[in-house]
Amino acid sequence: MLGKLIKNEFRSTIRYYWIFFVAFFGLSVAFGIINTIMTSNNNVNTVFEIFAFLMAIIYFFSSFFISLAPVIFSALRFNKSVLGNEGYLTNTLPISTNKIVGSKLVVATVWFVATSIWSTLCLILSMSISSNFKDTLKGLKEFFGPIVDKLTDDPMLLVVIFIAFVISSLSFVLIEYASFSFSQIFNSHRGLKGSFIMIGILVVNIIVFSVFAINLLKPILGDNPSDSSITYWIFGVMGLNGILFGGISYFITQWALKKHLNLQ
Amino acid sequence: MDFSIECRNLTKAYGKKVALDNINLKFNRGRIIGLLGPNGSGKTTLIKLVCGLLTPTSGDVLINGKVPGPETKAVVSYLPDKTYLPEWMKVTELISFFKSFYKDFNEQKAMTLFEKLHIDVNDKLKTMSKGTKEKVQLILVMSRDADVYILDEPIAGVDPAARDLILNTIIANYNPNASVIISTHLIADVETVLEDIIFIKYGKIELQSTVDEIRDVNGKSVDTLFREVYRC
Repeated sequence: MLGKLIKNEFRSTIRYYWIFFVAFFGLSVAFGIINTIMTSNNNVNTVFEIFAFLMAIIYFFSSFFISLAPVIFSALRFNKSVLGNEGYLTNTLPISTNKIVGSKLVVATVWFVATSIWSTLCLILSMSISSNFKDTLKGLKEFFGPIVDKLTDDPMLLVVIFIAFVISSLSFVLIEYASFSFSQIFNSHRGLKGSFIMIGILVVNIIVFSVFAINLLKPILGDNPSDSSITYWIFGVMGLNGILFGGISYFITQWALKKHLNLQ
Repeated sequence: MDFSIECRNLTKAYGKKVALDNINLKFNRGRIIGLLGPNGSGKTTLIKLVCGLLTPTSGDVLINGKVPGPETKAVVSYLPDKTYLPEWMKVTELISFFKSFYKDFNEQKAMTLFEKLHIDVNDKLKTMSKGTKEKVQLILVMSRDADVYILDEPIAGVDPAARDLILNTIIANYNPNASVIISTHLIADVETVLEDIIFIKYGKIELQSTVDEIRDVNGKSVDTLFREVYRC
């Protein structure tokens, strides 16, 4: 049953994600080409300059939007399919609440990771078109070189970073679910109240992470910690923080959906 | 077991507002039951409790002797009073969806009904009129061999000719060993198909009887009795 739910969830969400992926790819290529024209040609006319400027703004905002897209879509999807009219279908399926939440969590997290990878690749592509691929690679090497060297020396670090990233994504999605599920206790303006609850939890999350990361790390790391130690502990604490808030959010979501679901 | 649904001292309150007040009810198998009452009487609250969409404040609701959960949802076929299916899906996709999640879903029956009602299964729900969407939803719900069918306002918002078609579809296609609960305001239209009726008022059961008894004992139709009981 969980497999069927996940499959259905992918089918429901891929309909709009692919549009954004294709659109961002197209914008990246277009921006790269326009950038190339601007840098290699000293005699561009004013109209083209204005167009290039507008394109830069559009590309900047679209980069910002695509990074926010999984946040927005996972919340909208959950609200629509569990707490909205489609909730009459979802919540009457012969499936436990665990599986319903689990299927959406898995798919939302996959889209978080996929969107991050895709947008990064599109940005690199845009840069490669603007300069050339060799120069882009050289620039990336100079910027990321020290990090890559460190990761090559200590591959475990990459694993820790990746796991922390996935856990943080899962945790973020669960915080969204918990916030909007909890808002079922209200009779009106549930979307707005759910959003405020989510912001509140995220603020507390950041404060707790900062407290852990700064106050707990100091005695553990000692006076002269190495870069690796700091990185391990920061991402480790990030993962633990994600597990803590993700776990609490999961239980809040279950409690709210089992005890306080009230579809309107 | 003689009854499919049992409510024992069932109460549901939303804060201070009591929507259902200490209800005791039994729904018999193999009967078509009208759950009748004005707006705000508690009909939808009762339906949602049976479907597991709400949890009781106190008391129990049991379906085949079990509390609402995945097991009971597998035997309850529910039609809400709104468009609840994903509108981007085609009818064929909805059929596949129902088939994959409900073991009792009869695909052949569904296809026959869609053909009979001249509904193109390759159309998306969002391209259909409101009445056609409601027919699609009804067909999917009635194509299950469930123990309980709950139809919340199945004929509201459709024209009189379509109402007859919908009611005939219900009568012709339900599992004869199942309970069919129809919640509606349009009593005159559904009276001909009802066997039992429950009048609910301000969260309490006002009357539970058979249609025959009402006609024989009271000498009036259910619609007339309803107007008397709920006179403003």
